Amino acid sequence: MTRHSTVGEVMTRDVVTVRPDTPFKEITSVLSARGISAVPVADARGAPMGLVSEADLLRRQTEQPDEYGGQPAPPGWPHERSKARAENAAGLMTTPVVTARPDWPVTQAARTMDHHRVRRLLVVDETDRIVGIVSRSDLLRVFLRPDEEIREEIRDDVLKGMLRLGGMEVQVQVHDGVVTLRGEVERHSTARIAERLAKGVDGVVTVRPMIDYAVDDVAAQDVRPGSPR
Amino acid sequence: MSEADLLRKQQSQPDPGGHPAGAHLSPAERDKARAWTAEGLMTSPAVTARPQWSVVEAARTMARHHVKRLPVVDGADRLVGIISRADLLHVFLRRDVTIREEITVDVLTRTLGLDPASVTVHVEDGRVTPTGTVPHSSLVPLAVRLCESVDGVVDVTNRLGSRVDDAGGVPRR
Repeated sequence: MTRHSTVGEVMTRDVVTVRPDTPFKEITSVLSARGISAVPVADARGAPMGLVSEADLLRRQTEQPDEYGGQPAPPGWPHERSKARAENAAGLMTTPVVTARPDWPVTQAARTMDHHRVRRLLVVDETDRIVGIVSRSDLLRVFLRPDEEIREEIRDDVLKGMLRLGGMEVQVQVHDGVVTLRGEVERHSTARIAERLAKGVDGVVTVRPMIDYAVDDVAAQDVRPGSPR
Repeated sequence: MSEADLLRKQQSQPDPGGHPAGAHLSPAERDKARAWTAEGLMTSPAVTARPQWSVVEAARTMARHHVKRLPVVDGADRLVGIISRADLLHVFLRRDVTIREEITVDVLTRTLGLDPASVTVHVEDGRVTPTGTVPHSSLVPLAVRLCESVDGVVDVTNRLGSRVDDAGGVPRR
């Protein structure tokens, strides 16, 4: 079970792919026309073979003579040099391709990107067909959830679902990701749990707790020396 | 100055077939494509961040201005660093020991008021397993949900039991 948003929720679903024999110029047009920085290379049945990124294309570009006829120095690695000479997707692409599944939490996708030192993952279904692509900026989308979506999750999922608190007891306001909880509950401990649960919702910048309580059942804990905050 | 600025330059070169290039670029992009120096190629003015900003605030600013990184400046507008999207993603890559500490101190002790000795928290590659006994069964789903929402947690395997079954009642401690 996972709490954080999933790859399926933040990935780009409308993925354009190229074939292994797609030429260099056509790849640059695809990237430019779609405003994307990389394109997957897929086989006939839609399974991923590799990924061609702007960086792969730039490497090719630096191999070209400049306008004064000067020859650029070839990059050091033989592998990089062969990429620089490649004219189609199969020769330009980076392999092996690193994949993710739609039901992964974003945290797992971020760890996989970090582990393999890649900027994006191809999302595949059980039959290894491409169903999406997830980039770093897609993962960052969990920080950019609309206020109304955050408010609904806190009101329905957290307050009502977890704490059985209705709108009569606690009201939720969200503005630019800043959450204000206002109302009254019986116990201080309940107010504190509500605040912490709200803080853990994806996209929340901070929580301003303004919940009153009738019984202070946590005061003793707070005066204990060395207790946090 | 970004890869995109450089690629714009690349696309504007005439191709070997002699086709005109750069026709799809906007006037501002065409200016950049003609430039040969960093000053001509760079994107300006630079949007900046402050060191005390939260990750969420930095992410929102990058999205609003469509930039991939932000120069970080102090109160006197002096450059003190650069923050990139990759840096923001570090919030998902917290070390197991850091996750464990937040769960033990902040979630179990401070928020739920549990005796830290009553619950053992194991964290491996962001996967959390809390084991132990809590006073009331109503606390178990709260503890699990709170653990799941900690930054960097991949998933939670619940091994918590309770002394008193108060399921269906109001959460208490």
